[in-house]
Amino acid sequence: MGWRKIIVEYDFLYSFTKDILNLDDSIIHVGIMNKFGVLLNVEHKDHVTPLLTDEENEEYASQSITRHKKRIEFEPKIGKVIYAFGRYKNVDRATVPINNDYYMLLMIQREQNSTNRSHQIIVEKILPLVEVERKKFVIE
Amino acid sequence: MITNNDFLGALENELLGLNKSIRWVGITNEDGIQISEKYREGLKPFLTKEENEDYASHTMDRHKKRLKFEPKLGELEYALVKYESVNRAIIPINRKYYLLVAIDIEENEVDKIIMEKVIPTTRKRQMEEGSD
Repeated sequence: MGWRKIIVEYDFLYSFTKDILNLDDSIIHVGIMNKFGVLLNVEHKDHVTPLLTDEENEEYASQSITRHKKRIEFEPKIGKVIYAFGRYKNVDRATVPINNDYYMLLMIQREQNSTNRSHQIIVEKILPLVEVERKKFVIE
Repeated sequence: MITNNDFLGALENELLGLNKSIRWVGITNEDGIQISEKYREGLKPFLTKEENEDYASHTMDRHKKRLKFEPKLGELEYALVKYESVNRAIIPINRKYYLLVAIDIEENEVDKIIMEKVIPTTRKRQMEEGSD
C-alpha cells in the first residue's frame, strides 16, 4: 500500500462551509478539519463575535479529534458515531464526522426556551447535506 | 455523601423511571471510576459491565479536555454522543461526580429528557441528600 492522497477542492470546501453556515440562523460557527485535527476552513456569522480565538478554535479542533478517536473504540458494539454534542451554558457545540478523514465542528446559538432545537438542526438540516456532499471529500 | 449506596441506588431507580427510553444509568467519579450502575429491567445491554467501566474512564478523559474551554463557553450541562444504536450522555453532578446515561436511539426528545427530567431530578435528590 502506498500513500493515500486526500483531495478536496478548496472552492468546494469554502462553499460547503458557507452552505452549512447558512442552513439556519442559529448556526454561528462552522469549521472543517482533517483527521489530524487541522482546521482547513472556518466560517462564522458576520454579526456574531466569536467566543473562541483562532488559536483556541485550533486547539479545540485538535482535542475534538482526540476525543473522537476514543469514542470510536466502542463502534463495533454500538455502531458508528453519528455526531457528538455538548450543551454549554452559553452555546451548543457539535462534532459531525463527514467520513473517516474529515470532520465538521459546529457552534449553535442556544435558544433558552426551546429544547431539542440544536439536535433538530443537526438531524434535519446538517446531516442530510453532509450525506449529499460526502462523496466530494475524496480519498484516492 | 454521594457515595452512599442507598442514595445512589434510589437516584438510579428514580432516573430509570423518568422515561421508558432510558436504558442504563451509571455514576462515575472524577477519575473515571464507575462507582454504580443500573440497567432498565429486561434490557439486553450493548456493552458488558467491563466495557461500561472502560467507557466511563474514556468519557472522563474526554470531559477533562473540555474543561479548559468552560470559562468562555460556560459550564457544561451535558455532552452526548449519538451512535447508530444508542445515545450516550454524560451529565456533571458536581465537580467530583458525573452521571452517565444511555438512551434508546429511537427517542427523539433526548434533550428534553435530559434538561427537563434527568438534571432537575438529580439536583433535587442532591439537595435533599445535602451532598456536594
